[in-house]
Amino acid sequence: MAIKPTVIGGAPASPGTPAPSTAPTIIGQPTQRPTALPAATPQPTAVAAAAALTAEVSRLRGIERKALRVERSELARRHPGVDTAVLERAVAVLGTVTPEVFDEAACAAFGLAAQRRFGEIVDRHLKLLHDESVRSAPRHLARLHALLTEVGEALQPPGLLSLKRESARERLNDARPEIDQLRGLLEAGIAPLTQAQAQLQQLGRDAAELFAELSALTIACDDLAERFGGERTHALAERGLSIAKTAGLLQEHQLQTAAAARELAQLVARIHDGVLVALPAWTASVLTAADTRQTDTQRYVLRNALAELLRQLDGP
Amino acid sequence: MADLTLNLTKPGDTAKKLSLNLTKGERFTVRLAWEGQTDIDLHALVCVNSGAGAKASSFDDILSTYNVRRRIGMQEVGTLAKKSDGSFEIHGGALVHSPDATDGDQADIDEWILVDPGKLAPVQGGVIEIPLVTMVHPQDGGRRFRDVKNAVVTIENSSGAQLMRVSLSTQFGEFVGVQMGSIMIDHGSTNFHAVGVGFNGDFNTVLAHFS
Repeated sequence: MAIKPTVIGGAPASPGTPAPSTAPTIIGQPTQRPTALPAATPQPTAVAAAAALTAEVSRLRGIERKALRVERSELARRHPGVDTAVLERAVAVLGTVTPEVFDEAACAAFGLAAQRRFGEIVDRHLKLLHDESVRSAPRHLARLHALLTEVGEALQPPGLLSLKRESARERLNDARPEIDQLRGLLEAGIAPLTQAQAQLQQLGRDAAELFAELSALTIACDDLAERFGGERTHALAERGLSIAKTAGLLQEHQLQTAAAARELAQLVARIHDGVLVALPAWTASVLTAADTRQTDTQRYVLRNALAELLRQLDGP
Repeated sequence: MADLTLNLTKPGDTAKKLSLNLTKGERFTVRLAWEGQTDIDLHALVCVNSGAGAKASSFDDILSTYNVRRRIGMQEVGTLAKKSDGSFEIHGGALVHSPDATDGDQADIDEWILVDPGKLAPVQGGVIEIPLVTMVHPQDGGRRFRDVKNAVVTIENSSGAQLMRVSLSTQFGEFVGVQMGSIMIDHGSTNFHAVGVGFNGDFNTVLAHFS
């Protein structure tokens, strides 16, 4: 009996079938294509499941305390439109509440620390506004403005009674010791003013952070008031109202802080652009003008430059 | 007789593609903050749990300020060397402890522990368990957490997700110690498991339990 060979994976090739012609590989063939990353839609790679733990977590002998676990989605449903970050904070706040020990005293103290921080922020703001460098700079600028205005009067077109008046150069020379002193004080004040600007910006950030916390505390208060009953609910409702009022006051304060930050930035710009740049340029123009009486054109140019300088010292 | 095996590679076989493991190992940060003059400490132990509870086998497994080398009277105690910045570590830096803070006067975080499980060698027949504990220093006149202002401990993973936040002052006020939970490392799988148990006892009570 003829035994046929076992064929793996298909029919045997017929002995008579001609072998397919194999063309030689040509390096640098024009039709060769660059290697491309697979274009097909990649299938997600399955991540191996974590091996199951073979041991239970060890616990010290003691009393277990489980904090509340509230899902963000649950809070979102009950407080539609509230920012996700605030909801997450509220979840974190609720996560620090352990029902077994959250008694009436804890309810009455809920959120007090955050409210105290509001007082601290206001105090920091006031301290900053009463800083000597912040208070003195506008006074120095006003005095400088007055001195330059007096000098500028000599640049007005001469009238019938002004034949014997001092020239702008003479007036400037008389006022220069005080002008130079004011310029020095204002220049030295830039560093503390810049520092005050940075502190004010930090204050703004701290206020924003506190506002988010107060908002989260209000939501958490609301949730807890519904969760507990009796006196605790009453106490928490009062706390929620008080925290919400603080958040409202903080919002007003944030507007004041923003306005103060804008004013401080303008003050620094007035000193920089007016006192440190435009003033020396104008002074040099007056002092280097012809020794003899100035022409109408010279006076006009200097008067215009002075008007621009005074505008810069005035600010917007 | 052993099974016969042959090397099935032929000349011209395509070389195996090079590949790297792109998974970054999970790490954990434990942060403790409080206000005031009370001394609170963070502790962590590298234990092996073979099914009968986590057990540390050597003082080299104990990351605690009580295990830092120091001289008490004429006697030198402790195992761990303190670095120049005051920090100390175990298992080649797998667990690092911040300099010991004896009060809560730091601006933000007073003490911290970093856990890098990737630096720990795997163990056979069990999992590595790292219990995380915080305690009031016993020489602080019998104080408990309720006597400490704003004592908060948080645990974060390497992506910054907060895995646990505990107010020691309010949630565990009547205790001197809390086991926050344990980091379990089981053949490539690393997880934090919250426990939240308050207890009264000293650190040797903790050591007795875990050894």
